[in-house]
Amino acid sequence: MSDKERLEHIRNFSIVAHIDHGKSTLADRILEHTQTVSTREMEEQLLDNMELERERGITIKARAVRLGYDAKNGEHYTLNLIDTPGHVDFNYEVSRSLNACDGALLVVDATQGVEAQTLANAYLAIDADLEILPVVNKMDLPSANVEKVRQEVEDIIGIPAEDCPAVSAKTGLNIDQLIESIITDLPAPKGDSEAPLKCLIFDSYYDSYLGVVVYVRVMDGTVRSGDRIRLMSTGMEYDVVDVGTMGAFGLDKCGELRAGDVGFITASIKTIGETRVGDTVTSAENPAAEALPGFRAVQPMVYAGIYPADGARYGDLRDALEKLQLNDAALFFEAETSIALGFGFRCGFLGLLHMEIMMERLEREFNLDIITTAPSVIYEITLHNGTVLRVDNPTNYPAPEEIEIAAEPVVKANIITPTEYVGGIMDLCQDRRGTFIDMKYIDTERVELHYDLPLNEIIYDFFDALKSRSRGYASLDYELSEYRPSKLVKLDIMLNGDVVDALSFIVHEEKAYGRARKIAEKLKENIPRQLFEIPIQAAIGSKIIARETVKAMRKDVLAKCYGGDITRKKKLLEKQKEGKKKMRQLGSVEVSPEAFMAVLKLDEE
Amino acid sequence: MADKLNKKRLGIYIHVPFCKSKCAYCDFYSGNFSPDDRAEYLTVLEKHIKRIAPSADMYTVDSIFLGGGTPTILGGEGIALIGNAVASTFSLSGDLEFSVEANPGTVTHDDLKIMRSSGVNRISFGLQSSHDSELKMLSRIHSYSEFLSAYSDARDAGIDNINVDLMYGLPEQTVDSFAETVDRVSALSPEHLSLYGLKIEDNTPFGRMRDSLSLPDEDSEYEMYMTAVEMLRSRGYRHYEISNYAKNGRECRHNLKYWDALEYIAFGPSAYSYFGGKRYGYIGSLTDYCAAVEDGREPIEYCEEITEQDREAEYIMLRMRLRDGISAEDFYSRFGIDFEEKYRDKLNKYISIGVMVKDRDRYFLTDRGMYVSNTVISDIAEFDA
Repeated sequence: MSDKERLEHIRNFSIVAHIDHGKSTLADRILEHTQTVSTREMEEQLLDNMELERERGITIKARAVRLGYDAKNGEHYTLNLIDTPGHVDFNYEVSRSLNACDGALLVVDATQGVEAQTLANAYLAIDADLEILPVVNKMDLPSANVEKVRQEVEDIIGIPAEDCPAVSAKTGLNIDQLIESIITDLPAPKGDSEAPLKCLIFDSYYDSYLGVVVYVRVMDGTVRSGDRIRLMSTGMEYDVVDVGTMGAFGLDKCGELRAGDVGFITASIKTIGETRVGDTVTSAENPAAEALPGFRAVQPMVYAGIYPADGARYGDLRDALEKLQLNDAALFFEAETSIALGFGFRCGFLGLLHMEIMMERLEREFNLDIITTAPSVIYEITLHNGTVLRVDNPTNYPAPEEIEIAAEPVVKANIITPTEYVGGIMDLCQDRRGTFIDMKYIDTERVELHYDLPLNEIIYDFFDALKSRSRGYASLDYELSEYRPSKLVKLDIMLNGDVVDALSFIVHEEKAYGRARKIAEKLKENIPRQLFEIPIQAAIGSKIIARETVKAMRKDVLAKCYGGDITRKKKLLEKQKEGKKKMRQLGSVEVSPEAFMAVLKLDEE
Repeated sequence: MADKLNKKRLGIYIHVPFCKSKCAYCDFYSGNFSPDDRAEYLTVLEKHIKRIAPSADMYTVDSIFLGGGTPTILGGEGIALIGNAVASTFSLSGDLEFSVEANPGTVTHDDLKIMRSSGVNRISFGLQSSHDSELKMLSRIHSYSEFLSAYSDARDAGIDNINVDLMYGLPEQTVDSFAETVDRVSALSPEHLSLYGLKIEDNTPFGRMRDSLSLPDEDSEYEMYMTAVEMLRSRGYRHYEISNYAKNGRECRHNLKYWDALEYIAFGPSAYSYFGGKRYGYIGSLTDYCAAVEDGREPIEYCEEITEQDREAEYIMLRMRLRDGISAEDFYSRFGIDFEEKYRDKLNKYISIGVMVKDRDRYFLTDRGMYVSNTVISDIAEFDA
């Protein structure tokens, strides 16, 4: 077989979709129909490995699998299915995974139609020059409307969908036909196996025996076991131990990967930080002249302080973060201390979802109770002396008199909603300091809204507010656009006269009063009465802008304590003592971890 | 007699688990048993007392307390029988305090006279309120006027040491209505008053209607407490324990045993003893209790050996209930530990907050401090986990 013929029998593709439109189920069905995995063997939604992913119905990290398929034309094909993360926080990773493909299946729910992430993902696929094959899914549902959805895809995204497959991933309806379409409608990869080596890294994970396992798409050239390779962004070189492909149940070594192939490389690489997604792997002996386009280092967008609820577990928290970082180069952390919370870590995340997932994994997989401080974006502060600071922690925010310009990140937000909720959502965006850009009717029932929104408004329960105002129907996608000067202030919270550093945050001047009042009220509800009265104050500099008081405790007594009561009372007091141990001592005031968390969940409705 | 002076002192508690009907707030073990059951219980009690008494032959009993339930359901004769059972088996002190709890609705003039002549010298009336509406709400079976006549009957029978139980923090109760009760009752000049804040217990009618009860809030209940503290102090009562007030020298000797961590032996279902370094409780079922005793078994349901660390923690827990608090000297002689040194930081914290006072070597809670005593005690006492 010539190299050209070899390439003709490969299809590299992704499945992209809005959340819950059935991407993972479709992947399972394709695996089953290509007999890569028998039904009996198949674990539900094989591609999503982590428990958390399965529960949330989202894919956090890309995975890839190689499938074999005997087509109706009698030829045997190799299909490489590259899964992509399905959330706005992971846009860059999605784009790299898509660049590893030549085509994409765009899955659209036959009952829901095009949603914000359908659009966002479709645009990413178009940007990656992929051939897109729309797939209408959930045809088993009585409310499926295939013609309407096909029309939407044509009108909104502008790609032909007239004869696109209409399937049910759940029941298996028309899956055979879909796989045939992958062969006939998606292009084969191009590339020159004799050219200097260029592999695109689209994912990697750490394995304690193999070191880092790097997932690549070979664009040009050939890579073999024993080759010396170079990572073009860092110039670091390694000796390849193994190359191979990703089977449904593990890695299959194969000796060499050639242009057009998707596979893995191991090279005794110690940390995944060295193998950045989007980087180019080339040969050290015969390097490519230039790297593949589009690489950038991943930058966290959201920062928060993470502390163990029990200070004694600081070491456990550090170990846990190190373990998580082994497989998540986007997770950043460094030690920090808070007067209020003691020793902890400043952590950087791609976005709120990324942060929430990490918090959940810390609690679930590592059994840690943690306290997080209010999430913060990175502010760019220009001082009078010309120095520019990037501030991701309110504690480091300079004094107002030193600041020349304070700038905050602004995102381009794209919201798709049924028309009846437009008013409420526009109010919400207005309230979150959004700048209206435009509004487009998708059809008579749905609208696409474009806003510029400060990122720090989105990281405060914006998703929740959007969902509650649209009864769950609105969808959101956003990307960072620029930094804009803004009237920002630092709000401090004082308990019994002492500033609680962990509760400070940066807020727009106009929002300061409202938020200060809200926080003071929340704290009042969540701080138990103590032996003395506790003033709660919110201040900008020395100016108090909100105040509440926790009244002194009046009653904590057992009226009767006679013979039979003593044992019971002992247990009760012991329990009380245990409860106290969970409290954080802030100066003279005791505050529960729950109170910190309550402050973060301000429902501003 | 000389022998008696050297003997250790002991309290006897006898639980009488009979009530005509359950009150809405009460979770003590009691029930409406038949006269035959009551008669059988007296026989079993006699047997049990007789069997246990020899283990206390090195002790002199200086207090007997009949509680319930409603001991007065047994009538004067029944109570006399129990008194005799104790007197004929234990060695009694010459200045014995013999208390019986009485329900104003079940006790008669004759009962009181018989009780007095059989050695009872202290009556504790469960009144709870001077307002019939509040009594009804609590499902008490008596009125305030019935209490008044029972009270004068007791005086007439020669009882010169009377306690009256009152309650506050009741549904719909106001600071004024409670103050009125305290005012009326203290005007009768009983030697002792117990004022209990209502605690809603699970497995009581109040517990089951917890959410629909309109209870005074924390601040009002505190006001009730402080109003009573001040009124009774001005009328010559000493606030000697969180819930107890007495005229000079009339503190309840029996109850002080609990708070001084002194020894007592108890009889009856659900009753707890503290004796020989152990705290143990009998099973909370009349039938099972009687069956075990008849069988020659001890009906023990719970028993713990008190460790040295718990002994110290319990002492702090119990003594801090008292106005006399903890004397560093007493503490040292009991435990060989310097109380002030060991607990200095915490003691100073509570003194600075104003809930504790130091007077010479003695540390005690203020009136306000007593009402937040769980916070203070749970912080100071280190139980053996």
